[in-house]
Amino acid sequence: MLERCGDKSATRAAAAAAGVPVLPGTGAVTDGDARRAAGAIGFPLLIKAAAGGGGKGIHLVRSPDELERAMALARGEARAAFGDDRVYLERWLDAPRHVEVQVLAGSDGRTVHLGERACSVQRRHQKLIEEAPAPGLSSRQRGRLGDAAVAVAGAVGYRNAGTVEFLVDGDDVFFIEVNARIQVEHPVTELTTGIDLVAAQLRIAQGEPVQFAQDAVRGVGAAIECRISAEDPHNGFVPRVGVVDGAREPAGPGIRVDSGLWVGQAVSRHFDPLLSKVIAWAPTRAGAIDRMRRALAEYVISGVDTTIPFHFWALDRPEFLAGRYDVRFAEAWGKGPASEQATDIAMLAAAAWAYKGLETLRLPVDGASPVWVAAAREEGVR
Amino acid sequence: MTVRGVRFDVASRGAQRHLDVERRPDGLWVRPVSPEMSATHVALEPLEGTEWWRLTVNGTTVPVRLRRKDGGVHVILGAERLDVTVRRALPVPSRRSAAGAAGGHIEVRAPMPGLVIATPLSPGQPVEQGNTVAVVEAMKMQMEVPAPIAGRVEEVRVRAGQEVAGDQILVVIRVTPVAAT
Repeated sequence: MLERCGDKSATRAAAAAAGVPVLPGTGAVTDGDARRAAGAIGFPLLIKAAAGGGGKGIHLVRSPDELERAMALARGEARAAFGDDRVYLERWLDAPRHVEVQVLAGSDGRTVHLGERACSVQRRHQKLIEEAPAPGLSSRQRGRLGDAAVAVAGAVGYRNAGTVEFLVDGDDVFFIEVNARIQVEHPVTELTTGIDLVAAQLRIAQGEPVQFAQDAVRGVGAAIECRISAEDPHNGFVPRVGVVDGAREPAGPGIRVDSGLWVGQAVSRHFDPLLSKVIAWAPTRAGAIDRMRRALAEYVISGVDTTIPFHFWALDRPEFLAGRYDVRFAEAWGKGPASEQATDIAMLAAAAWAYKGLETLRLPVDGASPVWVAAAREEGVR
Repeated sequence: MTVRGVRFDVASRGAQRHLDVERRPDGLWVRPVSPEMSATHVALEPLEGTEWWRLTVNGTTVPVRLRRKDGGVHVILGAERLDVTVRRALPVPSRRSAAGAAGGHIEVRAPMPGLVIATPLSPGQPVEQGNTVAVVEAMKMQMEVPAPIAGRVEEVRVRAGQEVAGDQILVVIRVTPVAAT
């Protein structure tokens, strides 16, 4: 199964054969065929690793003269990352939305879908914020996505919990790939459907069919997930290594925190920088966003930079609030004018901090301390 | 004896403010010296064991990370990251200096316990507001202590190399009487 879905060009072909629209593209290509195939697809296009995943081995080619060099780079990366240097070409859409559908395919092959997730908030082709349901889709599009996902799972003979990924461009929906695993963003589907996906996956692995029918699946309310990674969002999201020397995690109604975080934890360069995930559910999308803002304001991680500032920004963007955002959303981060209000508040904080610093040096403070406390402090600062 | 208001020159992203910080019974108040901003109640509570603080400004609480950097403060606040420079400015005139403005004496006190590095002025010399009357070192930082008001140096009570306590009198200035208008 992993082999079949891991081979992206084979799943593309299977999906297309099942009548699911796919982006114009190729199967695995040789360097010799690439130029002619690229001409047929049109530019810009992407070169992707056939065995790829996680955004690795993907190269954007804007014009024919960039093709040869990009092919060599993509093959080298694919070989290094996946031990397989086969690559394929695919049409590139300028500003699509990334939408994916959760499926459960039982041991008997009967497959249900659990609705879609919007995953367009990305940097380096990796997701930062996901939500369910996907905002801004018509009910017709939602229906088509669900049907297409089940059709793809059937076409490749899928058995497991999995995700079928699509790009949505205006009214068009294109299949891109199957993720044959439980994904990082699965909690948003769990919170809206009430179905424990990990448990469902284990039951399938035990040889059971899916326990419920498609029309028993109901999405209730809205859920959003923010990925908290040890990265410096103000510095191109460069991963930050260090030691977590303090942490307080949020809680409260509708808040779930999936976390592997503890004080004293070393964040090393050997692992993915993802530290934890905050998921907020509420009856409405606006309510979930409010709860998420509150949870992020409670979240304290000391010792390493995190993506939390980015999330504050994202959750206040008009296009995010309106549910009209695409994969280029995060490009606007850090490019807008600085907030004057934040500058004012930061200056107040810095002055108050400096004052508190003086208070601890000057003696006695406030006249409130007993004399012996003041004497001890004076001793301490000598 | 209490810590009186302290004036800071604060700058970030090209904006500059003179901020008077004062502790009152209900907490810290920050008063911008410019008239367009009113006094702001500020609470800054540490989140123990972290570099983060809970900052409450006029009733709204936000987490803020404060870190010393290159003599300034590196701030993370919401979505924003910014560098703020904070320098102690002239002390807020107290009642004593208000009396001084009528032609009395002003005692210039050490801003913190430390080591006197220099006293550049001698008794009898004229001094402008803002002129350095002493340099005090503490925590490996040298701070120039400015004259809060113009006048003439009457006494220099400390000398270079001397340890001083916080609030110890360094220099006494006889204030130039304000001309009646």
